[in-house]
Amino acid sequence: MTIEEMLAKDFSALKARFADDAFVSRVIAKLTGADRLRLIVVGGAGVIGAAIAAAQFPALVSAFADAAPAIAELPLAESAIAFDVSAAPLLAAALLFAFVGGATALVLPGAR
Amino acid sequence: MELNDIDLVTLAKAARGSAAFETLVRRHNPALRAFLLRMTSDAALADDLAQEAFLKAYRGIEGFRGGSSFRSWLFAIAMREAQMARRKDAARLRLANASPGEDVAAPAEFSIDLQRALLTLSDEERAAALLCDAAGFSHAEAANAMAAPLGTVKTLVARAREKLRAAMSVEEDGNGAENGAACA
Repeated sequence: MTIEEMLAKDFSALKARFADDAFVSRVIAKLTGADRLRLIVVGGAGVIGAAIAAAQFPALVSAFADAAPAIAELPLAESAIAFDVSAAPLLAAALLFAFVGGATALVLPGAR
Repeated sequence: MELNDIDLVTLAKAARGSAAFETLVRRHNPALRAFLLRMTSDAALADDLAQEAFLKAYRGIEGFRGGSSFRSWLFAIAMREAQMARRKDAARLRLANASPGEDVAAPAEFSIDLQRALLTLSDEERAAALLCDAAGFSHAEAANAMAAPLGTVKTLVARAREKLRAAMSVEEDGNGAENGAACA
């Protein structure tokens, strides 16, 4: 048997030994774990950003209302001043845009 | 129909977390681990290096442009990892290189002799011989994986074969003499 054949035979035997063990599932678990962590970090940052933006929203509308009292008469502005988040379509839209922005960042080439 | 590596890389780039990269891991892990085991003589270290190589390949898959085969790109990452590990843990590897450890796989009867013969080679010669003669890489693929010129790889392979032939014939002569002595 030549050296090349011996190396190839030895290598094939090793490959057969490694073909069906727990290595693949260990690697995949590591990969998905890292992905999940990244998602939590990005999602957490998005939520904090949205919360900060939402906290500024009533003050912003109030400032408009002070400048132009007629705006405060609008149902949207009234609900925003009272910080009724569920009734503020603009805030919902802002959150939706934040989510879309975050999701786009996730799939951008080179983002991960 | 089985997808080729380039298709799988394209899918893995398009949809992270898809099964495409898992298929690549499943396809290439036996050869990569066998290569690293024969390079390091340490099964646990070989598995750690292979795992790190796959993690780095996954994170850096956008950097793979298809200029070489996926496996040569993957093996290049693994070789860099092995080099870094060797620098970090030179003393431990020197110990491992001194004699094949208990966890060195010996699937065939000639494997221990072959392993000893492999350890007589330099790292570059061993890598070139393993890639071209064991893993079935072309010289060009091996050159990509080793980040070395094609001519250098050809020289390394030829020199490694010569050294292995010499080492194996010495082993055989030694075994023959021992057997002869035992019989006498």
